[in-house]
Amino acid sequence: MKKGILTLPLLLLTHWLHLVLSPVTGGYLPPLPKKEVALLSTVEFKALLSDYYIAKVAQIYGGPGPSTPAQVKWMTGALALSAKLDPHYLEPYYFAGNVLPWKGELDQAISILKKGLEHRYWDWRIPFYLGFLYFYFKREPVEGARYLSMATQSPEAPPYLPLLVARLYSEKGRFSAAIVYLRGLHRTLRDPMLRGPVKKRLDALTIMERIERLANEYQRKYRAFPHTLQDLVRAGFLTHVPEDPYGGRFFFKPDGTVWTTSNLREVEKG
Amino acid sequence: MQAALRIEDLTKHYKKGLREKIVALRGLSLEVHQGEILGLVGPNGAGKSTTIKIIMNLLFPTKGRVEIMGINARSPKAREHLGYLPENPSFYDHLTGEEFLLFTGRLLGMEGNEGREKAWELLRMVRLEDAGRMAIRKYSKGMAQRLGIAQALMGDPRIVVMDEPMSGLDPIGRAEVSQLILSLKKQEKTIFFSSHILHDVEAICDRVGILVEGRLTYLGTPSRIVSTPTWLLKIEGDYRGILREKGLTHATMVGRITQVEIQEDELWEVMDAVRGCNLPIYSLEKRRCSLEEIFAKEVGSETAG
Amino acid sequence: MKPRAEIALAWVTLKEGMRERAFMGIMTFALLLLIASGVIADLSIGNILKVTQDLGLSAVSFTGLLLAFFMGTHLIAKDLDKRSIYMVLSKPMGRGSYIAGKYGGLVALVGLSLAFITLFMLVATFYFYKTSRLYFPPQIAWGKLVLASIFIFLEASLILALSVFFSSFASSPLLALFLTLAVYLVGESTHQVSEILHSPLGQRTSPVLKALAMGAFYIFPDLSLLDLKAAAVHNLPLPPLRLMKTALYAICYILALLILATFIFKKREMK
Repeated sequence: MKKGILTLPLLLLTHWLHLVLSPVTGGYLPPLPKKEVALLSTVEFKALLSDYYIAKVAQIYGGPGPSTPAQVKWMTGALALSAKLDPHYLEPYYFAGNVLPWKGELDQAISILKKGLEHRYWDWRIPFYLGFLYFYFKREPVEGARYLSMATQSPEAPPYLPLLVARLYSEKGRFSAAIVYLRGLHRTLRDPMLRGPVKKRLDALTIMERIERLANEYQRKYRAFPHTLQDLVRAGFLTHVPEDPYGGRFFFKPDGTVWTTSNLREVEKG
Repeated sequence: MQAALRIEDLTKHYKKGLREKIVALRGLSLEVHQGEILGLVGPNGAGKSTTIKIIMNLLFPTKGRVEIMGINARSPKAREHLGYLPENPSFYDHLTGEEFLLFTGRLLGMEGNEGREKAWELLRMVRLEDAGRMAIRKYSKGMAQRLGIAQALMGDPRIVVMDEPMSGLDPIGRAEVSQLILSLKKQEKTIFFSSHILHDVEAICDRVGILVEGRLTYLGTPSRIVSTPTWLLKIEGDYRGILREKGLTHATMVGRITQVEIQEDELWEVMDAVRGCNLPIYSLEKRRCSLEEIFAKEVGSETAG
Repeated sequence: MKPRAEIALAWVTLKEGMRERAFMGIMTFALLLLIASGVIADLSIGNILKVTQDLGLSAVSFTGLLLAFFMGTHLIAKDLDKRSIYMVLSKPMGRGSYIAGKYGGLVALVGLSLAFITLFMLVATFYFYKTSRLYFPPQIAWGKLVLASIFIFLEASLILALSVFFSSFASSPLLALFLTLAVYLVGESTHQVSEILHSPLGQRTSPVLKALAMGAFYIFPDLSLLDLKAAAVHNLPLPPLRLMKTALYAICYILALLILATFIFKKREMK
């Protein structure tokens, strides 16, 4: 009887170890119970379930290949649940603010972050993420500015933050604001596993910004937009066609702006 | 002189299920005098253990009361005068004998040194001095019983109550416990104990009470119960015919043995009569009445008093 | 008068508990859990030290719960079952002293075990802190980790008091265990449930159910108050006055349970 009860946590432990150890196949997504059920059934071990969902989200996020719509939907639910279970835990807000919007779940991300503001009221990072979302994705610079100034007023905000916010607002280019934000974000990250993806996005955006800048110079010189990146190489603006870190290919859209076939998401190689 | 132990109209009902009740004691009254050994005998289920547990406040009476040196048994103060040996005593058996006695001493409020001296005095008395530092779990049944007696004596109680102190022991063990009880009497202690074996009781008790179905059917000296014994003569082979000629008409065969019961006062007469016949006598033994026979005899014939 | 009898009984109970196979099993399990927590945390992402602390404190709390549930009901049931209790109750002390001594021993057993596990947890956390691969390690609130462990001990003591209380009248240890477990589950959730009832969802609940739930909220111990794990891991402010009130709450609850247990135990017959 006693030994029987002991095996229960052991089983959970092995289950967790197995999930964390085995590479993501994308197939299995753990069930997401209703939040009341999750809150009542985990008694005083709510944080562990929260950690578990975050580990799984990180695994999908860090896994190879693009996330499927089902995975994105699951991640959104898991992050909301994780934030509910352990509302003081930063990681659910980090993923909600910096992963979900890029995968099209902007409104969910904002709702999770706004709840986070109540619990981690001292933390400058949540308004920082929120401000950027309003500024960049929602294109509501006034609302964005409100959150960003909230972030800079936080006593724990890093000294470089006001400067960073000022630059965010001064940037005119499409990618420059995101680049400034990602640089700031990169500085706050502790875990190499989280820094990697941010660095990659930063690299891709930096390249795209440069191409756009060069395309403008090309237009000033030849009074016409380049059709392909090869045009820039031929004209001597680029020594070679730069590679997309996500594995896609950069191209000019008909309106003359730069984009990539990877859509800034991981492309499966092969 | 004040009675050491006074039991007054003690009645005990147990509930069994919702409606049914079992009557364990029916108005038992009894007084144990200071310095005497009183044995309570009776068949299993007669109410002996119930009586003792009520004295020890482990069970509570439905009716009636128990007084120990004039103090109601329900009060913890009453137990200051009592030492108790439960039936088949069970200890915290990871302790050694010495540790258990020290523990008992502390329960009684003794200081460390005082307790240690008393513990070893008692260990010597119950002849466990060599096993004092051994874990109780390794004790034999007899050793455990003797340790049980030692712990009952830790507080130097005036009255020692023992529940079946000799049950489950071999003949040597029984003799040892009997000796211990007799030596306690020399120390002027009052002893009240229960047994279902009459032999244990008659040898050492000053008085005996017989309890049958929750009623005291006899209370008095042991010699009066063990009334005139009979003798049993056993002869190898079938000699019923010869015996019948000698006037012994009630001989019976058990296997290949002829058995015949002879009254005490006829013994020598009969033996003289069969002497000449040269019978292969197997044995001649004094036959005690079994307790059950006495109980059967006592029920209804004598009243308590 | 010095409580010599109670202390003696507590000491014997402590020694007895430490020799139980179930006790050894629980302690071994807790240490394995703590060692495994390092491996698990290392495989997770983000603030891995947060996960390490979560697992560490959960291991401490899980150990406290297991010990409180099993040792509490088991040691008293064993005493009754083996009838070793007769030797104790036949001494000139009240039944209250038995309850106090037994409870004291159980609390000492759980307290020593938790102190040991907490020490191990702190050492493990310190090791992971020093060897972490994070760029700049987060602050660890060492004092609050210790404080959280102390409150885990308070919680376990409360559960022990519950198991002693239920053992004082339950006819079987399994029943006592079941009742203790039930109160634990209710005690862990009353706070959540009352929050749900005060939320928009609660507006639709029937008033009878609501009254019952609020009754439960006041009768059952609010165990979530004693849970400082999140505060320790996230280094949240812990006002000393509030902590003292919380500790007082637990202690009063324990005393009330023990007094009730004595009251019931006094009326219990030892068949």
